[in-house]
Amino acid sequence: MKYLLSTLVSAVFLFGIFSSQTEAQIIELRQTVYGMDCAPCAHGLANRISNMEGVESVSVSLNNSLLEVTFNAENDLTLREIQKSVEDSGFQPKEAELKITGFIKKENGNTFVLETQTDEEYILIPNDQEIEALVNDLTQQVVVTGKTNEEEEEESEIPLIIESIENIKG
Amino acid sequence: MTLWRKIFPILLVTGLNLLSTGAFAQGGHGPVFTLATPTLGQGELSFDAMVMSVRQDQNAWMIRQNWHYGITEDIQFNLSIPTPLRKTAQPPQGRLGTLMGTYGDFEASGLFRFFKTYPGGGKRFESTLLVSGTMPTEKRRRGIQVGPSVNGAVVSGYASRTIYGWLGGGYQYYGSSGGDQLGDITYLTAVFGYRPPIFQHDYPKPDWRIFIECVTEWVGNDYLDNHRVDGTEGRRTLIGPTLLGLYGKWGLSGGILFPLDSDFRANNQQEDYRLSLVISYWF
Repeated sequence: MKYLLSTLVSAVFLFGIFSSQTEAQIIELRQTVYGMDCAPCAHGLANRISNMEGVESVSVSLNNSLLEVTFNAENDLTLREIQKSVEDSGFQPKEAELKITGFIKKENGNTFVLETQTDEEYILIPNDQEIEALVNDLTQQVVVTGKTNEEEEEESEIPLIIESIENIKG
Repeated sequence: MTLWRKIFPILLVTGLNLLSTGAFAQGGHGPVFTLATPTLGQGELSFDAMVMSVRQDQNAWMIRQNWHYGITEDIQFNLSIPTPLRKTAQPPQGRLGTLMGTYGDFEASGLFRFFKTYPGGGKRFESTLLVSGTMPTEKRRRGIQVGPSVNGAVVSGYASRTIYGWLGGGYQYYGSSGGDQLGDITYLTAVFGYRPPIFQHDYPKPDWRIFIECVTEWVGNDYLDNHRVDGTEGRRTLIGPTLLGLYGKWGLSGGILFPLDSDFRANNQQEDYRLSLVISYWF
């Protein structure tokens, strides 16, 4: 009985994790920010980002010019929204490293695009690996870790250099 | 009434002002007397309370309360409210702090950062235009009826984790009042700042830096009953150190400027020093 109960609790717990992961968009973000020189700069940015709905934790490093954000499972924030907030604080967002969930679709032959729950889409750029070799099933939701370019243009799709892709099971 | 009894209620109210709010924002860079390029993020608010003094034969004291609001990340609105504590009979003409006006003048200003570039992490180069207007809170100054004034300035500078520097200049013109007119003020300012490596801690540890500030002012003649008052024009240059400390929501800065050179003939335009102590709070 105890074994059954513990199994049931574990299943519910794991179901909760993977269910929440499939609902999330951005999971983690490390955003390089130029222009922050002093404590009020960091504090203002940290406060602005932490007040955004869906943000779980924020850390700002002046010496590394870095904004690190973790997001809760139900967030629907986009990278563009975070970067707009950086600009509204008076600074310049540069390249970003992010962990993000979504579905991969194939467009125009060999272009792979990560679709997310929001309108934001990412053009996946393989890094020495073919995407099809990494993703067994394009109908499965995946977690992609990657980097954006330093200078992004205001395109609807954001180029993302892949570091890893994991299938989400469940 | 002693000076302390005059100051205490104002400091108390100012302190309560500072403690009563709970939100947060970004503030300026630190120079006390000279032009800089302060910026606030969009929708953000900061407040300074400062005690200032200018000494001639005796000290004149003033408290200023300054409010700053970021309309956008490049446009900032400021209000500076003076509370003279002790006046001298013949206060010198000049801007005590180039971002906050002179004796007894209520000042509203707008800052527009029209150029910015980010050469690297923790660095920026930017230029800002300042436009302001003042209204006097006293009828006469040095026996001259005081009219409103307009002021315009431009400043460019560099901010980084180690080095700061700004160079700017401006012009303030006083309108006439009852046939009297205070002399106009043309000014140049320069400031160099340094954050020693020991204070280049990462946020949120304490952040200290030191500045060397320099102001040169050219003051025009006063006019009394439409007649020029000879000998009231001249030029002065002041230089001195200031210090800025930041921790969490709070900032503390202060400094003193001493005259380096002056060619004023009128004794009432001489200054022995300018002194300022500022408490800042970011909402």
